[in-house]
Amino acid sequence: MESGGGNKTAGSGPGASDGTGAGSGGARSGAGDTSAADRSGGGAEKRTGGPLKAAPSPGRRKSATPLSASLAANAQAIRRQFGDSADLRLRMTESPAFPGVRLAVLYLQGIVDENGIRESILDKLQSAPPPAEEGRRADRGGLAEATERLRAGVITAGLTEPVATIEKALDSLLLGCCLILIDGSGTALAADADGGERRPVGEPISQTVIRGPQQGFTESIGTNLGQLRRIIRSERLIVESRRIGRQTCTEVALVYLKDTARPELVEEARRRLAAIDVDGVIDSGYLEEYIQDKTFTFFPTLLNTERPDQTAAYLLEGHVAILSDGSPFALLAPVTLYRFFQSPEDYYQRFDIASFLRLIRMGAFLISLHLPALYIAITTFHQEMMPTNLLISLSAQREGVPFPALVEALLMELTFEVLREAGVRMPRAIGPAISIVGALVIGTATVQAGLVSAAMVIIVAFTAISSFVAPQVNIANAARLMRFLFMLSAGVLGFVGIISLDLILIIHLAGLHSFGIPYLAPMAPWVKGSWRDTILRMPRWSMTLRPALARKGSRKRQAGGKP
Amino acid sequence: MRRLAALALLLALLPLGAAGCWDRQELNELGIISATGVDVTESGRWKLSYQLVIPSAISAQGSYVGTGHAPVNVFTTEGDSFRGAVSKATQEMSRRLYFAHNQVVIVGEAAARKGIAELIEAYMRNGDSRETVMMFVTEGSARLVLEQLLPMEKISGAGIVRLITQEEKQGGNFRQMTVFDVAQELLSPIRTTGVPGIGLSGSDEPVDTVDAAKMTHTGAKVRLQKLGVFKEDRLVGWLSTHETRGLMWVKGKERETTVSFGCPDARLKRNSIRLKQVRTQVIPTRKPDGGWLMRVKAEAAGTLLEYNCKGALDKPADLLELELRIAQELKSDMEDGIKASQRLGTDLTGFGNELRLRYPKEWKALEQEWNDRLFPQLETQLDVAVSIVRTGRSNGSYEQAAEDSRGKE
Repeated sequence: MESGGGNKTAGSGPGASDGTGAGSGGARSGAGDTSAADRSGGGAEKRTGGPLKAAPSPGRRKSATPLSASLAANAQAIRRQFGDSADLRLRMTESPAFPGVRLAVLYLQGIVDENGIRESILDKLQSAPPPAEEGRRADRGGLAEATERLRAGVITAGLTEPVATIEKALDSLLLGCCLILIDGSGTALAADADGGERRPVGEPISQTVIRGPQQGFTESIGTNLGQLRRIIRSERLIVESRRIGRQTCTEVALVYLKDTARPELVEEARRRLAAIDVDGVIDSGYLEEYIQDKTFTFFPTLLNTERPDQTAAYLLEGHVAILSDGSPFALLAPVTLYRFFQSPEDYYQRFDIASFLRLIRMGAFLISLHLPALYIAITTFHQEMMPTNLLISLSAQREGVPFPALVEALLMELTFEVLREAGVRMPRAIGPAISIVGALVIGTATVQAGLVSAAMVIIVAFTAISSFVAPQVNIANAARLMRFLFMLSAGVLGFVGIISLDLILIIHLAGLHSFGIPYLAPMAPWVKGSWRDTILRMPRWSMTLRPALARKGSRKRQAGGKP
Repeated sequence: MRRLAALALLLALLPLGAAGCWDRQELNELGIISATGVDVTESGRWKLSYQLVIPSAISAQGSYVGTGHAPVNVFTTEGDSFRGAVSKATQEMSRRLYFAHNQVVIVGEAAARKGIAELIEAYMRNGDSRETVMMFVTEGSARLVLEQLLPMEKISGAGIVRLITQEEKQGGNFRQMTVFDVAQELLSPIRTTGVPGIGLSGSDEPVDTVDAAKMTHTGAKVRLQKLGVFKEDRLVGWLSTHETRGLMWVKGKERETTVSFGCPDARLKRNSIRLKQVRTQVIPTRKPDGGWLMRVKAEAAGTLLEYNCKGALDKPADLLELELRIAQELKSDMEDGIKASQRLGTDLTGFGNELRLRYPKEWKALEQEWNDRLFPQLETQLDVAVSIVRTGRSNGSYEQAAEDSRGKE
């Protein structure tokens, strides 16, 4: 049995492309035109069902060894490949469909649904009707025919596929299949038995809303895609699946809405995903670093979300989403700066409060960026800018404080950062201890001890609160880092320093792109009509156009007009 | 290449650290000055007094009573020049004097008579001491005023600012004059100005100790009184508060004030009205004999506050009669102001400026002897109209009502 046969049979499955992984992997290691090969070779597949259908990661397997005719030898080979791992289960069985032929069922415990295997494979095998008289011939031709009959008529697992090579057998086991070896046949059967314990769909922890859908993505990409499909019930919702990661072989799905997303954008996303060659993808954060436009910036050029509703809304506007198995966070691209201040809830609430909240969020971002710096600048360089009473009150508080305002501010900000990190990393049980220590240590004791001024505590506290307002943790983190730069430049040059850094920042932002979209769009460059859903949110019926990033000619999304 | 770029960047950033922090001035290194006093020594040197705020005494909860520390500290330096005197402060003050929040400058009479040109120069030229500082003159030593504590205020410098602000808004006798205003008026063609006077009244016992706040009344009080009249840059005399208010009406600077007036044939002014200035117009006209006549048209409107005369205020005829009587009162106030101004030979009315605007050619001839000869003899014609907008909640006076009820019995 040559590997070509395997390819042929695999090709009979809808949209399947067995062997291309190995093929393109060879191309990768050999020739230089890897991306072209991947693209043309269908590195990404339309996701049609079980884990088998996604192409294995490029460069994962470099060889293809055909299965031998002997069950014992095959089982032995697979076992050896797995290094006698304890979770590899092998069960010998017999079936009336193969009189006198030994069968073996292999699977990896934990990633398969064992009950399902019992019901749809083992039970069916054992109760399968005996073959007709002429099929009893125990030669290969007969066996192949019986195997096909088994696949088509006996095993009721969702998806079955003939497997002809050891490597393919290993892959299918790893992807959660149950492998049925037939003694005397060079073709095994892989039946989808994906299962095992998974976290159920729960509330999105990182992005809570008061009003709106309350379910979030889980670690299972199948569940996640299902959630999306449930929201967008359209055949235009395209899911392109691929496997990334030499070792982890993680399923990564590129999702977009055909005819709405620009083809160039989809092509670009495909190209960037195809270019990733990494040994493991644990979370979509891994992917983000490979596909983002610019690494050396504080600003995220991809948006991550735990919410299917937000993902669906972005897809409807012509964005693409990238989901990765094992990560409850989808990546959305392209994004502009303003997107990070929009919460999905903006669209579920009345437009007036939504607009107000957006302004608040942007204001809070600016505050979290500038406030300590402004305090430093005003108190050390521009005292004349304060009202007299404030100056006197601040100056009374600073009386006896041993450090310059800059040192004081840095000290407090760093203390806060440490506390915050401790709060995140600490086991839940000792969490409250943090708040007590934090409140007592920074809030009261330092002021009473005269180490820092009370005003500084207020500044740091308000800065901290402001930084929690951002609906995307990403952007708050950007402010978190830049805040220190602002503080330093304020301590060195006062307002001049702050303004200079602001200018540098604006220039930097104006130069950023996210998948070809300017980061400050639709403000710079100005896109007519997009103001309705950027800083403010106008009533839904007035937003007749999709954002400019949507495909040309498909921007109109509703009839529009006041109902 | 990249290494070179990084090095260039580093070199570009280095001077930042060196240049920066240069002007850094921590809050607790500042000696915040809330008021400045200007006196002269007998030898003619400037004697500057500073009211230094002590933040820690102020910021404690409650007023200065609580801490037992004086909220301000006053000290004095001397020098031939203004800033020269300021620079000597370093010899006795541990902190850098910070003038940006100085709100008040008080000029002692001796200094004011010597001339305030140097003071204006110092305030106009320097960025830290601003020309928006409010100026006052005092009959005695300026330092004495700075030493006083105001009962409601922690910082007496800021308290004086509130005092004049309230006076301008509510009392209507004085208006605030910043150093800039003073300079502007002194540079105007008539070269005169009036600066509100501040001084101590009440008992002789000064309120310069925190202990004074332990009593329910204070001895001496800081009080706005009189108007210091400046000609060129020197103090030439004083106007009373009453005369000052008359001038405020003439100049059209009055906002709101309470005017008392009497009943017909009564000596005491037992009635009062709260008047707002509506409009004042000064029209210089040439008399047939070649002299000048100043016609002042003033309009005021107000709410009656007290009324103890006869007459029914719901009758238009009685109301009209009352309006005329109030107008007469107002007119005499204004005349007092103009006369006092003429007596001093300083045009505080601003008539000269009006004349210059209307008759620029003629003004050239008049300018030189305006203050000394022409203005004191200037003929004025006042035309005052008062309208009573509201008479309050009652019509006739209570006295009238009592009389009526007696008559019924």
